[in-house]
Amino acid sequence: MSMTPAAFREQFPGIARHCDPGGLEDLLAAMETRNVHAGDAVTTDGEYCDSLFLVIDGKLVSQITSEKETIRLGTHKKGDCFGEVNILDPGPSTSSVIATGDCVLLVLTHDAFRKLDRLHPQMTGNILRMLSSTMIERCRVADKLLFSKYAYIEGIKDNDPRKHHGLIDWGRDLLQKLHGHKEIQL
Amino acid sequence: MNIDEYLQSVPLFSEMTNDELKILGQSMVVKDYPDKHLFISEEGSADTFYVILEGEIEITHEKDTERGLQRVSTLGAGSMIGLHSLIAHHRPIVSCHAKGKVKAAFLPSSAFNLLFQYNTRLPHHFQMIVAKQLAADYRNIVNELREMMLTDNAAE
Repeated sequence: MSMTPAAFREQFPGIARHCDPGGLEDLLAAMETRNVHAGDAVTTDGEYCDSLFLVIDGKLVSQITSEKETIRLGTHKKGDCFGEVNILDPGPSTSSVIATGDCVLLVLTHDAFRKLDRLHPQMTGNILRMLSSTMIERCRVADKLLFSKYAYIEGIKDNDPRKHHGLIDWGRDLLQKLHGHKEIQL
Repeated sequence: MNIDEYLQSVPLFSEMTNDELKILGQSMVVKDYPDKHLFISEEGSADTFYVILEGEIEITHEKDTERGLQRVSTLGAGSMIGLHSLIAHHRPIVSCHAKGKVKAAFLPSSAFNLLFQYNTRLPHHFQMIVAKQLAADYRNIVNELREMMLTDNAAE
Protein backbone atom coordinates (compact mmCIF):
# COMPACT_ATOMS: atom_id res chain seq x y z
CA MET A 1 0.00 0.00 0.00
CA SER A 2 1.63 3.26 -1.09
CA MET A 3 0.38 6.67 -0.13
CA THR A 4 -0.23 9.60 -2.44
CA PRO A 5 0.86 13.11 -1.41
CA ALA A 6 -2.80 14.18 -1.30
CA ALA A 7 -3.73 11.30 1.00
CA PHE A 8 -0.73 12.07 3.22
CA ARG A 9 -1.73 15.75 3.48
CA GLU A 10 -5.20 14.71 4.52
CA GLN A 11 -4.12 12.10 7.06
CA PHE A 12 -1.03 13.78 8.52
CA PRO A 13 -1.62 17.54 8.20
CA GLY A 14 0.70 18.36 11.11
CA ILE A 15 3.73 17.05 9.22
CA ALA A 16 2.50 17.82 5.71
CA ARG A 17 2.15 21.54 6.40
CA HIS A 18 5.94 21.76 6.60
CA CYS A 19 6.40 20.16 3.16
CA ASP A 20 6.47 21.78 -0.26
CA PRO A 21 5.39 19.45 -3.13
CA GLY A 22 8.94 18.33 -3.96
CA GLY A 23 9.79 17.83 -0.32
CA LEU A 24 6.68 15.74 0.30
CA GLU A 25 7.47 13.49 -2.68
CA ASP A 26 10.94 12.86 -1.29
CA LEU A 27 9.62 12.39 2.25
CA LEU A 28 7.21 9.71 1.03
CA ALA A 29 10.00 8.06 -0.95
CA ALA A 30 12.18 8.03 2.18
CA MET A 31 9.53 6.24 4.24
CA GLU A 32 8.99 2.50 4.23
CA THR A 33 5.46 1.08 4.31
CA ARG A 34 5.21 -1.69 6.89
CA ASN A 35 2.37 -4.18 7.32
CA VAL A 36 2.04 -5.32 10.90
CA HIS A 37 -0.06 -8.26 12.09
CA ALA A 38 -2.25 -8.34 15.18
CA GLY A 39 -0.15 -9.02 18.27
CA ASP A 40 3.13 -7.92 16.68
CA ALA A 41 5.30 -5.51 18.68
CA VAL A 42 6.39 -2.48 16.64
CA THR A 43 8.57 -1.19 19.46
CA THR A 44 9.64 -3.00 22.61
CA ASP A 45 10.11 -1.23 25.92
CA GLY A 46 13.83 -0.70 26.55
CA GLU A 47 14.97 -2.00 23.15
CA TYR A 48 16.77 0.07 20.54
CA CYS A 49 14.62 1.95 18.06
CA ASP A 50 15.52 4.71 15.57
CA SER A 51 12.23 5.38 13.80
CA LEU A 52 9.13 7.51 13.69
CA PHE A 53 5.94 5.58 12.89
CA LEU A 54 2.85 7.02 11.24
CA VAL A 55 -0.35 4.99 11.42
CA ILE A 56 -2.04 4.72 8.02
CA ASP A 57 -4.51 2.11 9.17
CA GLY A 58 -5.26 0.00 12.24
CA LYS A 59 -4.89 0.39 15.96
CA LEU A 60 -2.02 -0.18 18.37
CA VAL A 61 -1.72 -0.16 22.14
CA SER A 62 1.14 1.46 24.05
CA GLN A 63 2.30 0.04 27.38
CA ILE A 64 5.21 -0.22 29.80
CA THR A 65 6.03 -3.37 31.69
CA SER A 66 8.07 -4.77 34.52
CA GLU A 67 8.39 -8.38 35.67
CA LYS A 68 5.16 -8.08 37.67
CA GLU A 69 3.23 -5.24 36.18
CA THR A 70 1.97 -3.83 32.89
CA ILE A 71 0.73 -0.26 32.73
CA ARG A 72 -1.34 0.47 29.66
CA LEU A 73 -0.78 4.00 28.43
CA GLY A 74 -3.21 4.37 25.55
CA THR A 75 -3.79 3.65 21.89
CA HIS A 76 -2.49 4.89 18.54
CA LYS A 77 -4.93 4.95 15.65
CA LYS A 78 -5.12 6.04 12.01
CA GLY A 79 -3.53 9.49 11.62
CA ASP A 80 -1.44 9.26 14.81
CA CYS A 81 2.31 9.03 15.00
CA PHE A 82 4.70 7.67 17.63
CA GLY A 83 8.46 7.30 18.06
CA GLU A 84 9.20 11.04 18.14
CA VAL A 85 11.97 10.55 20.69
CA ASN A 86 13.61 7.69 18.81
CA ILE A 87 13.89 9.48 15.49
CA LEU A 88 15.45 12.48 17.24
CA ASP A 89 17.84 10.40 19.32
CA PRO A 90 17.97 6.68 18.47
CA GLY A 91 18.09 4.61 21.64
CA PRO A 92 15.92 2.54 23.99
CA SER A 93 12.16 2.83 23.45
CA THR A 94 10.24 4.25 26.39
CA SER A 95 7.27 1.94 25.80
CA SER A 96 6.13 -1.14 23.89
CA VAL A 97 3.70 -0.51 21.05
CA ILE A 98 1.72 -3.58 20.00
CA ALA A 99 -0.77 -3.94 17.14
CA THR A 100 -4.26 -4.89 18.35
CA GLY A 101 -5.29 -5.75 14.79
CA ASP A 102 -3.62 -5.74 11.38
CA CYS A 103 -2.01 -2.35 10.78
CA VAL A 104 -0.29 -0.41 8.03
CA LEU A 105 2.43 2.02 9.09
CA LEU A 106 4.79 4.45 7.45
CA VAL A 107 8.28 4.21 8.94
CA LEU A 108 10.86 7.00 8.80
CA THR A 109 14.27 6.06 10.21
CA HIS A 110 16.75 8.49 11.74
CA ASP A 111 19.23 7.83 8.90
CA ALA A 112 16.58 8.40 6.21
CA PHE A 113 15.63 11.64 7.96
CA ARG A 114 19.27 12.78 8.00
CA LYS A 115 19.60 12.00 4.26
CA LEU A 116 16.41 13.96 3.61
CA ASP A 117 17.94 16.78 5.63
CA ARG A 118 20.64 17.19 2.99
CA LEU A 119 18.03 17.59 0.22
CA HIS A 120 15.41 19.65 2.04
CA PRO A 121 17.00 21.35 5.07
CA GLN A 122 14.19 23.85 5.50
CA MET A 123 11.51 21.14 5.55
CA THR A 124 13.38 18.80 7.89
CA GLY A 125 14.34 21.75 10.10
CA ASN A 126 10.67 22.64 10.50
CA ILE A 127 9.70 19.03 11.19
CA LEU A 128 12.52 18.87 13.73
CA ARG A 129 11.18 22.00 15.39
CA MET A 130 7.69 20.51 15.49
CA LEU A 131 8.97 17.29 17.10
CA SER A 132 11.14 19.30 19.51
CA SER A 133 8.13 21.41 20.52
CA THR A 134 6.24 18.20 21.30
CA MET A 135 9.15 17.05 23.48
CA ILE A 136 9.26 20.41 25.27
CA GLU A 137 5.52 20.32 26.00
CA ARG A 138 5.81 16.82 27.44
CA CYS A 139 8.94 17.58 29.47
CA ARG A 140 7.34 20.75 30.83
CA VAL A 141 4.18 19.02 31.92
CA ALA A 142 6.23 16.28 33.55
CA ASP A 143 8.50 18.72 35.37
CA LYS A 144 5.57 20.80 36.56
CA LEU A 145 3.57 17.83 37.78
CA LEU A 146 6.60 16.19 39.37
CA PHE A 147 7.30 19.38 41.31
CA SER A 148 3.68 19.86 42.35
CA LYS A 149 3.44 16.26 43.54
CA TYR A 150 6.81 16.23 45.28
CA ALA A 151 5.18 15.07 48.51
CA TYR A 152 4.08 11.87 46.80
CA ILE A 153 7.61 11.18 45.62
CA GLU A 154 8.92 11.82 49.12
CA GLY A 155 6.15 9.51 50.37
CA ILE A 156 7.59 6.63 48.38
CA LYS A 157 11.04 7.27 49.78
CA ASP A 158 9.61 7.51 53.32
CA ASN A 159 7.28 4.56 52.67
CA ASP A 160 4.47 6.70 54.09
CA PRO A 161 1.16 5.18 52.88
CA ARG A 162 -0.77 8.43 53.51
CA LYS A 163 1.34 10.16 50.91
CA HIS A 164 0.97 7.24 48.49
CA HIS A 165 -2.73 7.95 48.13
CA GLY A 166 -3.53 8.82 44.53
CA LEU A 167 0.00 8.25 43.33
CA ILE A 168 -0.78 5.39 40.99
CA ASP A 169 -3.55 7.25 39.17
CA TRP A 170 -1.47 10.40 39.06
CA GLY A 171 1.63 8.60 37.80
CA ARG A 172 -0.33 6.72 35.15
CA ASP A 173 -1.94 9.96 34.02
CA LEU A 174 1.46 11.61 33.72
CA LEU A 175 2.98 8.69 31.81
CA GLN A 176 0.03 8.81 29.41
CA LYS A 177 0.62 12.50 28.85
CA LEU A 178 4.34 11.94 28.37
CA HIS A 179 3.61 9.40 25.65
CA GLY A 180 1.17 11.71 23.92
CA HIS A 181 -2.04 9.88 24.84
CA LYS A 182 -3.61 12.71 26.80
CA GLU A 183 -3.92 16.35 26.00
CA ILE A 184 -1.40 18.49 27.83
CA GLN A 185 -2.70 21.53 29.65
CA LEU A 186 -0.49 23.86 31.60
CA MET B 1 37.95 33.64 25.72
CA ASN B 2 37.64 31.87 22.38
CA ILE B 3 34.11 30.50 22.61
CA ASP B 4 34.25 28.21 19.55
CA GLU B 5 37.33 26.45 20.92
CA TYR B 6 35.51 26.00 24.20
CA LEU B 7 32.40 24.62 22.45
CA GLN B 8 34.58 22.00 20.75
CA SER B 9 35.18 20.49 24.17
CA VAL B 10 31.44 20.22 24.99
CA PRO B 11 30.30 16.66 24.01
CA LEU B 12 26.88 17.81 22.83
CA PHE B 13 28.51 19.91 20.10
CA SER B 14 30.80 17.10 18.87
CA GLU B 15 28.85 16.63 15.61
CA MET B 16 29.40 20.22 14.54
CA THR B 17 32.28 21.11 12.25
CA ASN B 18 34.92 23.61 13.35
CA ASP B 19 33.57 26.13 10.83
CA GLU B 20 30.06 25.77 12.23
CA LEU B 21 31.31 26.16 15.78
CA LYS B 22 33.17 29.27 14.69
CA ILE B 23 29.97 30.84 13.30
CA LEU B 24 28.05 29.80 16.41
CA GLY B 25 30.80 31.22 18.59
CA GLN B 26 30.64 34.51 16.70
CA SER B 27 26.87 34.63 17.28
CA MET B 28 27.28 34.22 21.03
CA VAL B 29 28.37 36.86 23.52
CA VAL B 30 30.64 36.10 26.48
CA LYS B 31 29.81 37.98 29.65
CA ASP B 32 30.74 38.03 33.36
CA TYR B 33 27.86 37.85 35.82
CA PRO B 34 27.88 38.71 39.53
CA ASP B 35 26.88 36.39 42.38
CA LYS B 36 23.09 35.75 42.53
CA HIS B 37 22.51 37.03 39.00
CA LEU B 38 19.15 35.69 37.83
CA PHE B 39 19.55 34.09 34.40
CA ILE B 40 16.09 32.53 34.20
CA SER B 41 13.12 33.24 36.45
CA GLU B 42 9.95 31.25 37.07
CA GLU B 43 8.19 34.60 37.23
CA GLY B 44 9.42 35.76 33.83
CA SER B 45 9.90 34.46 30.34
CA ALA B 46 13.02 32.82 28.91
CA ASP B 47 14.40 33.79 25.52
CA THR B 48 18.13 33.14 25.86
CA PHE B 49 20.36 30.09 25.71
CA TYR B 50 23.48 30.08 27.92
CA VAL B 51 26.63 27.95 28.01
CA ILE B 52 28.36 28.16 31.38
CA LEU B 53 32.08 28.75 30.90
CA GLU B 54 33.22 29.33 34.49
CA GLY B 55 31.49 29.13 37.88
CA GLU B 56 28.26 27.51 39.03
CA ILE B 57 24.55 28.02 38.53
CA GLU B 58 21.92 26.92 41.01
CA ILE B 59 18.59 25.62 39.72
CA THR B 60 15.60 26.14 42.01
CA HIS B 61 11.84 25.72 41.92
CA GLU B 62 9.34 27.46 44.17
CA LYS B 63 6.06 28.15 42.40
CA ASP B 64 2.90 26.08 43.10
CA THR B 65 4.54 23.59 45.43
CA GLU B 66 3.71 22.30 48.88
CA ARG B 67 7.31 22.59 50.03
CA GLY B 68 8.43 26.11 49.24
CA LEU B 69 11.79 26.68 47.61
CA GLN B 70 13.41 23.49 46.31
CA ARG B 71 17.02 23.34 45.22
CA VAL B 72 16.92 21.14 42.16
CA SER B 73 20.58 20.98 41.18
CA THR B 74 23.80 22.89 40.66
CA LEU B 75 25.39 23.10 37.22
CA GLY B 76 29.03 23.83 36.46
CA ALA B 77 31.21 24.74 33.48
CA GLY B 78 30.14 23.13 30.20
CA SER B 79 26.47 23.01 31.24
CA MET B 80 23.73 24.66 29.24
CA ILE B 81 20.55 26.39 30.34
CA GLY B 82 17.67 27.86 28.35
CA LEU B 83 17.70 25.28 25.52
CA HIS B 84 13.90 25.17 25.48
CA SER B 85 13.73 28.92 24.96
CA LEU B 86 15.23 28.51 21.49
CA ILE B 87 12.24 26.49 20.36
CA ALA B 88 9.28 27.54 22.48
CA HIS B 89 8.61 30.62 24.54
CA HIS B 90 6.90 29.31 27.65
CA ARG B 91 7.15 30.50 31.21
CA PRO B 92 10.09 28.59 32.74
CA ILE B 93 9.43 25.84 35.28
CA VAL B 94 12.64 26.60 37.22
CA SER B 95 14.78 29.58 38.14
CA CYS B 96 18.53 29.70 37.47
CA HIS B 97 20.86 32.04 39.31
CA ALA B 98 24.60 32.48 39.72
CA LYS B 99 26.20 30.80 42.74
CA GLY B 100 29.20 33.07 42.99
CA LYS B 101 30.71 34.78 39.97
CA VAL B 102 29.88 33.21 36.62
CA LYS B 103 31.23 33.59 33.09
CA ALA B 104 28.77 32.48 30.41
CA ALA B 105 28.24 32.74 26.66
CA PHE B 106 24.71 33.55 25.61
CA LEU B 107 22.67 33.30 22.41
CA PRO B 108 19.28 35.07 22.33
CA SER B 109 16.46 33.16 20.62
CA SER B 110 16.18 36.04 18.12
CA ALA B 111 19.79 35.36 17.02
CA PHE B 112 19.02 31.63 16.78
CA ASN B 113 16.01 32.41 14.58
CA LEU B 114 18.17 34.61 12.36
CA LEU B 115 20.69 31.78 11.98
CA PHE B 116 17.82 29.45 11.14
CA GLN B 117 16.57 31.70 8.35
CA TYR B 118 19.94 31.73 6.58
CA ASN B 119 19.31 28.19 5.36
CA THR B 120 22.82 26.99 6.08
CA ARG B 121 23.85 23.72 7.72
CA LEU B 122 24.66 25.33 11.03
CA PRO B 123 21.15 26.02 12.37
CA HIS B 124 20.03 22.56 11.31
CA HIS B 125 22.91 20.91 13.11
CA PHE B 126 22.22 23.09 16.11
CA GLN B 127 18.53 22.20 15.92
CA MET B 128 19.50 18.52 15.89
CA ILE B 129 21.66 19.05 18.97
CA VAL B 130 18.77 20.73 20.78
CA ALA B 131 16.44 17.90 19.74
CA LYS B 132 18.88 15.26 20.99
CA GLN B 133 19.19 16.96 24.35
CA LEU B 134 15.40 17.21 24.62
CA ALA B 135 15.03 13.54 23.74
CA ALA B 136 17.57 12.63 26.42
CA ASP B 137 15.72 14.80 28.98
CA TYR B 138 12.46 13.14 28.00
CA ARG B 139 13.90 9.63 28.36
CA ASN B 140 15.26 10.50 31.81
CA ILE B 141 11.90 11.80 33.01
CA VAL B 142 9.98 8.80 31.67
CA ASN B 143 12.49 6.36 33.13
CA GLU B 144 12.43 7.98 36.57
CA LEU B 145 8.66 8.06 36.60
CA ARG B 146 8.20 4.50 35.38
CA GLU B 147 10.76 3.26 37.90
CA MET B 148 8.80 4.99 40.62
CA MET B 149 5.46 3.64 39.39
CA LEU B 150 6.53 0.06 38.81
CA THR B 151 8.50 -0.13 42.06
CA ASP B 152 5.57 1.31 43.97
CA ASN B 153 3.06 -1.03 42.29
CA ALA B 154 5.21 -4.03 43.03
CA ALA B 155 5.58 -3.02 46.67
CA GLU B 156 1.83 -2.77 47.30
